[in-house]
Amino acid sequence: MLRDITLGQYYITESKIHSLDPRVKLAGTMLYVISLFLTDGLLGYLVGAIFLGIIIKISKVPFKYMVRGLKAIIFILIITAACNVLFYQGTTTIFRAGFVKVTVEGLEVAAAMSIRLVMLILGTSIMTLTTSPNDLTDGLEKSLGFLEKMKVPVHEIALMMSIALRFIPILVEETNKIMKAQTSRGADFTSGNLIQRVKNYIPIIVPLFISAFHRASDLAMAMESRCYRTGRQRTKLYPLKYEKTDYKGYIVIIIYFIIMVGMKITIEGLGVGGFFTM
Amino acid sequence: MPFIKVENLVHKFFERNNEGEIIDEKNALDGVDFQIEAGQFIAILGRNGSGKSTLARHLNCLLFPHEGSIWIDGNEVKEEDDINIWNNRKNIGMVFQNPDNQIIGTTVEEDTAFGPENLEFSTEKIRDRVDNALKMTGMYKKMNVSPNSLSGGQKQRVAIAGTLAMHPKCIVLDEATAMLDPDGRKELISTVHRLNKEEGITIILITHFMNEAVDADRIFVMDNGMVTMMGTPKEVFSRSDEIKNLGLEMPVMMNVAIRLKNDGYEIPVDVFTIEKLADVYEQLYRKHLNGE
Amino acid sequence: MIEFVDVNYVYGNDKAVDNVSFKIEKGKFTGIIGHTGSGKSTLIQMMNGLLKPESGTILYDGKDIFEEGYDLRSLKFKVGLVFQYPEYQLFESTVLRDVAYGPINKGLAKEDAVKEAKAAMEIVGINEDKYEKSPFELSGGEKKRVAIAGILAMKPEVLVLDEPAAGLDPETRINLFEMLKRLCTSENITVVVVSHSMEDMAEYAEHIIVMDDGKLIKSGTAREVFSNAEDLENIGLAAPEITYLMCELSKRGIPVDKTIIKTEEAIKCLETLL
Repeated sequence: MLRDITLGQYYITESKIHSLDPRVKLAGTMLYVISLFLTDGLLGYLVGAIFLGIIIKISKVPFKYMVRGLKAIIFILIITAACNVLFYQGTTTIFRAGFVKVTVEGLEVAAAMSIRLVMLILGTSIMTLTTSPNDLTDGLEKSLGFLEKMKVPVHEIALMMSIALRFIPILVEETNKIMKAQTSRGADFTSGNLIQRVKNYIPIIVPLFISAFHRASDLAMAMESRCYRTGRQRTKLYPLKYEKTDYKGYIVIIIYFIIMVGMKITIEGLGVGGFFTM
Repeated sequence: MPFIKVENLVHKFFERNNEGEIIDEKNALDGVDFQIEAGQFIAILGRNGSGKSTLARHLNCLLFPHEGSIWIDGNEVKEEDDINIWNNRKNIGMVFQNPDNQIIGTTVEEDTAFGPENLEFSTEKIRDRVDNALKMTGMYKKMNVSPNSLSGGQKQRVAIAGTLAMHPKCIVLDEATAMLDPDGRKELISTVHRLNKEEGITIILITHFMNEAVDADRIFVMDNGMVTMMGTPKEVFSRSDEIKNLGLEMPVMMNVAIRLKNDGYEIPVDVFTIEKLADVYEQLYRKHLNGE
Repeated sequence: MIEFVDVNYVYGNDKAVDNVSFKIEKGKFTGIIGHTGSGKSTLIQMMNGLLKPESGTILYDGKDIFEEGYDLRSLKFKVGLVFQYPEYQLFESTVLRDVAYGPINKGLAKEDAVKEAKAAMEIVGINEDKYEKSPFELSGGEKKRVAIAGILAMKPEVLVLDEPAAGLDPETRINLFEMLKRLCTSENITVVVVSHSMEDMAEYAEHIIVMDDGKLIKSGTAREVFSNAEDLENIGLAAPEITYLMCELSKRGIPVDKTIIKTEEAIKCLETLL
């Protein structure tokens, strides 16, 4: 169900991770993602997973809650894995049927990809789960502030993102409601060929767009009436300021990154590659 | 000088064809005149499409007059005078109909801070304003909660807090109770009455619910882009035939009183509460028993 | 017509509907009252099979609608469900086409669907000059009526509406309820309305179902339900103002009928005593 998407949702609680400066979390997430792509050995994934596990533990976000977010991408996961298993051009064949060939290498790649994807999603969602969208946009705004000089409206983009995030649950609910309403008028979303099916969705898409436009214009008016002006500096209730823990955060993430890079170099130096061979 | 003065205000809506040429125009506001003194509680009634919302938007400089003029706090509203416009928006807070479409922040406190942040206040001042505004609307405890988890009435109170944090002199509620359930409506109405009495904030309440209007100092009734009736609740609702013609309905108790009076019974008609009607009816009944 | 037997519905961790049983009688105007979150909306979404109860049975015309082989899709045409703010589900390029959407889904030929659509619009009072307009050009009240026509055009036997008067001005609201009453009496359609307004329900509904926290608190004639103000107050609801007036007068020793719930009856009663 759509409501199960925890990606991009903020989980309200108090923890060390929650109170970190969003810039630290952004940098950390970036380095974490890079480290995942550097790694292709079991040990690397293990270290990455342990690191992630510790962060999740500290963040106090229930693991169950995070896993719910994975449900939404399980479909993508299965498809990617299946494609890799079936079509990877490996040499050690296990099973063959027509042009489909399952190889050891294919299985390895599929497993590696799946693990990487899951860790990627968990890793990035820990950032969105522990950072309120406003903090997140503040962080992005500050980190990307240099683009402002190149006439990129960083602040406006950041605000847009934060508003978009706020409206996701509202629009999801609205979609549900419109779907039910049209079903009550005898709409059928399951039968017919592809074109027919796309057409069947018009009664949902049109009202959804119209309502989204209405909401947008209402919101613009509400913002204006509260003295919002584009292109103006705004002050902040919570201005971003680095504290001691933030520097500690940077140190931790850098140490992690150095370990991952170090492992990559030494393992390659030893010439031991491959997933299962590790 | 009254706090708000509106003189011969005209606002036109233009219908355009696909080339953008004007093919038809309609006066959404057609010569509106009124004055509002600071600290008053005004209710504006009128059927859908009578021009109430258009009027409200003028007060907040979201729309500008095509003809006529508006003075707010002694200054005339001019489209080209930015400073004046921002001042007016700060002084006159707006609460709109749809609770979901006016909350910008992702937590209650972030949303309340939106206005003061736009006014470029210092962090300490914003904190102070936000805390006070949330206390005044009874939303202080919900400070860190996501607006999506609030009830409709609570969301509207957050919207009020958002305007309060800018220290407005007046709050305009544009059908702000229309999408609420009875509990939410009660919460909101009692909040604005308290702000009016304790903080002296001028309230302009646009509504379809007659029982929300009976406690106002004055009622304006709009129809066809004009203010067609103006007066105290007693004055306005005693003209019951006109009220019905304007697409409104009578408050229940006063309706009963007027019907009795019209049928020839000696009964005062300015009764809005059950108690009061029971009192006057009891008198009438006792008199009747005593054979008078 | 519609019968719920021990129906339960779980939503997340909450029991949205908790062991509810009632009957809705053919040709009657039934009101469902209760707080936001009391389970009213869930209840009506089960009536046309949109939601399936966790346990319990829902019977339509004596048949279990969730029994294997029951044609749930055609039930949706028999039990027309009008959601809150139905104006937000309009999507077609013209009013006429929008109203004809339901009948076409039902399987009618285009001409027949248009005929039904026109008939439905006549009932709700949408004039011919509006047929070819875009539904988005209409006023709020008109949009709402067009949306209701979209359901009526499917020729439902039961019409279920969730808060149909939300956001309407008094005149439009009264006209809408008068129209529903007319549908009930002259078109013989069973009408079920979910509402927050005790005054409207006292005025128009014959039968009232009271919900609180997923449970059915009471089901009876409007007079039975509303003249028991205390029961309603216990769950944070209230009787109509006029009933409170009658109670107050009776407390003061004036022999009025305490069970009166409609203004007209109250005035008559008050005048006969003078």
